[in-house]
Amino acid sequence: MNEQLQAGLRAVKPLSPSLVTLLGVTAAEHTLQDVLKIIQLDAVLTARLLRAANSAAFRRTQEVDSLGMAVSLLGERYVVGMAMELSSDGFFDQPLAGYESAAGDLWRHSIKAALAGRLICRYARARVTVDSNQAFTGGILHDIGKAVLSAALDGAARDMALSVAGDQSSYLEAEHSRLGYDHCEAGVALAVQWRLPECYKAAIGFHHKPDQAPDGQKPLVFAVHLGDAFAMLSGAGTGSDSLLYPLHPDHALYFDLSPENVQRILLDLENEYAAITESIA
Amino acid sequence: MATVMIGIGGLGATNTPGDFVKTMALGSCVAVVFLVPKTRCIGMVHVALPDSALDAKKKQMVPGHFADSGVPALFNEICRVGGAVTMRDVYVKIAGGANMLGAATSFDIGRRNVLAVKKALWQMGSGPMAEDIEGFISRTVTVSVDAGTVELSSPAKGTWTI
Repeated sequence: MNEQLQAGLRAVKPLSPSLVTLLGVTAAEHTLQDVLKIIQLDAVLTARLLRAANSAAFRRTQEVDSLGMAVSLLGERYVVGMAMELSSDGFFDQPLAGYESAAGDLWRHSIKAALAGRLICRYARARVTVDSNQAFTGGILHDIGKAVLSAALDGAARDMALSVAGDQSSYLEAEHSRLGYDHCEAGVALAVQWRLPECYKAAIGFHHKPDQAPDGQKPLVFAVHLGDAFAMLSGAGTGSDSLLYPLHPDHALYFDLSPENVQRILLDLENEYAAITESIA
Repeated sequence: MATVMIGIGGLGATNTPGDFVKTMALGSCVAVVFLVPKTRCIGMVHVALPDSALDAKKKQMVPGHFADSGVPALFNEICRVGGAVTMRDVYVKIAGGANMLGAATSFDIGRRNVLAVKKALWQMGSGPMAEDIEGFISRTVTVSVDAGTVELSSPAKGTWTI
């Protein structure tokens, strides 16, 4: 493995054991009880979930005073999102200097990609099976490799963006030609280090080349690929590379994204993003 | 001196000397800027989607979200803040409407937004005197009351004015 990549990986702290367990459990078939068993061991997460469930964004007549009620009300995607934010020790909030991206941009992009990926699953074609909760979590995780690459790309963002915009290639290729690896490959290396489930390794590794994903993971990877695109279109990019990735035409094999459906997803995305940020605040 | 921040679907206007109006990181959205020399008032709406027929409730609550309701709402706002004018008094500039590389027609929401903004302006007897639209870049737009300038910035291009 490239030495620069190894150094980048060494700088990333491990995920908390409870988050690794939660991601593992929610990636496979599971019940609400399975999720509750993990969360109830984490007092900070439990408190934050109760506070969110009682926030204005989820107005209810009755106070939510149990973890079970809170998780039922908020939904699994929200629980996983909050667990990621709390347990990743500032990983998603760091500025990405190599992408000229400010603190918090990676988290905003990841949450929007996650919400969009989940919404896109509503428009899956009849024969396509895709788990919307996996699409949400895959969306949160898809760009973790950028945090590994960022330092190595410091100072290069403007040249790379100009070059990619000029020849309409892909920012991924620009990363590869500059460093010998790209943020998808770095993300997979970090996913191995974090012991993430296989479905998320696929989402991270192939989200810019979804046609090359293993067959069984293609619907999930295309959902994450599209979620990433919707996040960028809605103004939540991660700096210099925003919009500079080709949209793969094969998405139409898996999802029915007519112009009307695209607009509906963008509208629902803003509504859900506003609700989730209001409840976290 | 203050900066009026305009979020997605938001709109605002000011005629206070030293003030700025700003919106961040436009993707497929379009910023419509109104400059009124007569009243020294500036305004901006951050349009996210072309047509308010998609959601009547949203149109009522956040008219700036859609081109067809946002552009007239911005005109009302600059009249409320700066005093009554006609569209003949207003200089219009627009920016944004970007897209992903290689996106299919159904995904071309940026171009649809631009066309819907121009249609709404045309229905009010106006049109943009300057524009920086489409392409594959994210744009941040800042407008100054004092200078009457519309400054754009993007990580890929630096800073420029229209």
